[in-house]
Order: sequence, then structure tokens, then C-alpha cells
Amino acid sequence: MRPAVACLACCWLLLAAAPAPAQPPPDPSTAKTASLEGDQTLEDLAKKLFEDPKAADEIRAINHLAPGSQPAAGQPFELPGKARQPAISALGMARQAVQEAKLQGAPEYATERYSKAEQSMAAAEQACRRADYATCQQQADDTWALARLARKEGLAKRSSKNRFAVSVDEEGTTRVEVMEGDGVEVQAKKRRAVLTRGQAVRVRPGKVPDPVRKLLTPPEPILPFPASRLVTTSIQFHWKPVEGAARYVLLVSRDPAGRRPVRQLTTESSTYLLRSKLPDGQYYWFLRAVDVHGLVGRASEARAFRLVSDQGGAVTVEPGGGVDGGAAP
Amino acid sequence: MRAGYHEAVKSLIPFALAAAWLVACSSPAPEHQPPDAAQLDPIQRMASLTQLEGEVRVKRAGAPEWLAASEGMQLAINDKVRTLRNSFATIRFEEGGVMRLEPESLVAVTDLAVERRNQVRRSTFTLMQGRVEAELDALTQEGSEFKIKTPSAQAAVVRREVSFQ
Repeated sequence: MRPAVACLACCWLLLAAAPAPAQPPPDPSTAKTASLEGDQTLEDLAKKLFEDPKAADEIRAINHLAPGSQPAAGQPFELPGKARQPAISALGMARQAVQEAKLQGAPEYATERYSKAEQSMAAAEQACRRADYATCQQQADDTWALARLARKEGLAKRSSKNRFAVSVDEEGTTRVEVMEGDGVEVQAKKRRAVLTRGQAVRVRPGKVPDPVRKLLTPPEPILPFPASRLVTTSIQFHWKPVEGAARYVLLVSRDPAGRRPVRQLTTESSTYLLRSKLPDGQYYWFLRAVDVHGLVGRASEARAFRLVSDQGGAVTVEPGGGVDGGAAP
Repeated sequence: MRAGYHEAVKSLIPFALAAAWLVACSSPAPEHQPPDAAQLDPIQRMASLTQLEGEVRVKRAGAPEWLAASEGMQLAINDKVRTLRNSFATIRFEEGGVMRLEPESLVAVTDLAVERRNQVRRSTFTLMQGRVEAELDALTQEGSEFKIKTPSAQAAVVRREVSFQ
């Protein structure tokens, strides 16, 4: 009996001596403080420390400062802690997934889901701005999943469509190209040719259809780089040549699906200098290779650039950090 | 004489009734009448112009002049649409689907109808010049068709075979 009592007493003593349940260790970087120097702003500091001037809002949120306010020079304030980095990474991935979904035509083909992804993205960004990094990360992860689903749904719906082109040139020659779908039956002089996805045919006036040919592969864009910001009125387009191509068609559109085109240009070389009179804004470009029979191949994926031409004649081309690849028109 | 006449008339009554019954039976019932011609006539569908860029013109059926196109303008059979240099237009169909006109194209609406009985849709356009790109849902209903005619050929979308398992 006695040894049992002694044992219990020892256990009680050990338990009592054990430290209380540990509080989350203080985030060392949260504890980190900083202060502004001279006429430095929070935005300057945020850009210096986090490469993002918008992180100034997070510093304000942590320190309960009014929106847009600036602490006095020398006044110490706390900086975001370690929790920021994973949240910002998740936000970046979510942003990229939303952009990819957009480029693959999700706004058009998976409207509801894409809209939810955009709303979720906005909520994640807001959470980050108020330095609620846990919510930001969770919301960003949800956004990423939603955007991936929207992209998948958009792609599935897009490929179930019939997409084909018909053209007539000055000599009266008809060309039919089938990009997607169940196929197209071409008839001339009582002869039929059935084209499936990726096939094309030429019909000269008064003749039966030529043999069915395969569409050329899309050219691979090189310049401008993905998501470039162009502060110039001369846009240099450059791409990898396609074997068998006689010329190329370059389409500039206001949307990533190529549905709001503003320029269509033709060239025999794999480069084109566009003296742009386009208004400032976001544009997307696509390329198609045309074979010696005049059959126009599939379009390359969308590549975005932003035109900011009216800035005192400055000419700079800044590669962006956006994603490349998107819906072909 | 008069009594004999009455007897003869009486004996004919069953025959007269039978004849009347036969005539009534042989006349078609109202529900078996041939359908009204209006029910067979296809209804004309409309399409509308959208996403206009640059100079786009429309010529109404029978009208001599070309009008400047405007967003949402309705198109009917025998209307024509022309895009000029650096200009684009999209024809949007009621049921979904679009046809985009590239620069310097000329297209006429040749047929745009839906049959009342079975909702079969027929769409035919005549491309006289330029290039168009169509994007349509699959044609699943028998009899539905989408065609683009040119001076030298005709292109028709292949109908999707739907199988039920």
C-alpha cells in the first residue's frame, strides 16, 4: 500500500513540475520591428523588404494603423511574421491558376465556376491585406482548386464544340479547316470529302475537292514574353518557324479566347513589327501557320501583353511574371 | 294506293338510317384533319450581330443600301454582312453558337429556320468573300443542319451520333 501511495505522489509531483501546455512560440519575425527613415514611406519599405509595395497595407493592419497612414520617422512598428510567406505563396499559385483558367476560356465555357474562383481570389487577397494569413492561405487554396476545376470544365466544354473555318479567296477557291468537333462534310461537283479534327481541304472553282490535308501545328511564340508590359508603340513579335509554313497569321485580341480581335496581320517571316495605334490595355496574341495550299493551321495558345504606350516616349519592354499558354481562338 | 305508298316509305327507313350512319362514319373526325399549313411552316429564326470592331456594314434583304452595323442588330434571311479592312464581326445564334467574320468578308444569311413540330434547326450561310470561323454546339437532332455555301463548294457540319445504352 505504501509504495503505491509513494508512486502516486511522485507522479503528482512530476505532473505539477511539468511546464504548462506550451503557448505557440512567438514568431521571431513578428517580433521584428522596423521604423521609417527620413521621408521613406511604408510602401517604400514594403517594396524593399517584400518586393511588394502593397504589403504596406499588411503592416498597417498588424499595427492597427489607419488605411493610407504613415508612421512617423523613427517610430517602431511590427513587421509581418513567418506566417506571411506560405500565405503569399498560396496566393501566387491561386492567382496563376485563375489566370490559366482564364486563358483556357473558362470565363466563356465555365462561367459560374470561374466567377466563383474570381470571388474566392478576391477574398483571399483581402485576407492577406488585413494580415490574416491563415484565412488568406485557406482561401487561396480553395481558389486554386476552384480555378483548376473551372479550367477543366472549360476545356471539356470547349472541345465538345464544333469549330471550323471556311474561306473564299479572290479566285473563288474555297478552303475549309476543322479545328474541333464532329467534322465537316465538304461537297463540290458531286464529290464529298469528310474532314475530321485537324484536317483541311481546298476546293478550286469548278473542281472536285483536293485531297484532305493535315493542318499545320501552331507556331511557338517567343516575343513579346508572356504577360509583358510594353511601354512602346512598336511591338516586335517573334516566333519559331513551322516546317511547311508559307506564311503566318498573327491575331491580336482583347480577350484570351480571341473573340474580340483588333488586328489580323499576315507575314511570310517569323517576325513582325507592329506600329501600334492600339489604345492602352491588355491584349492577347495568337499565331497560325498557313501552308503552301493556303490552309490555315490551328492557333497557338493565347499570350498576353499590356500596352502602356503613352509615357513620355519611353521605350521599355518588361517581361511579366504571368503565365503563358491559353485558349486558342 | 296511299296506304301502299306509306308502307313502301316505312320499309325504306332502315336503309336511309344505315346510309346516314355510313356517311357519318366515313367522314373524317376533326382530330384526323390534315394539320394546318401554318404548323408545318418553319419559323424563321433570328441571329444578331455582336463584338463589332472597325467598319461593319449590313444590307437588308431587298434594300439597295448598306447600313452601318450596330451591336445587337438582328439578322434575317437574305440579309448580308460585310466587314471592311481591319474589321471584325460576330453573328450570334439564338440557340448559342457563333460565326466570326474576319476582315474583308461578305456573308449572306441564306436560311435560318426552326420547324415547329420537331424543333429541327436549319442554318445556311453563303460566304462570297473572306473567311469565317464557326463555333457551334454539336448537332444531335436528326434533320438539323448547319451549312456554309461558297461559290465553289458547300461545307456542312457532321451530325453527332447519339447512342443510348
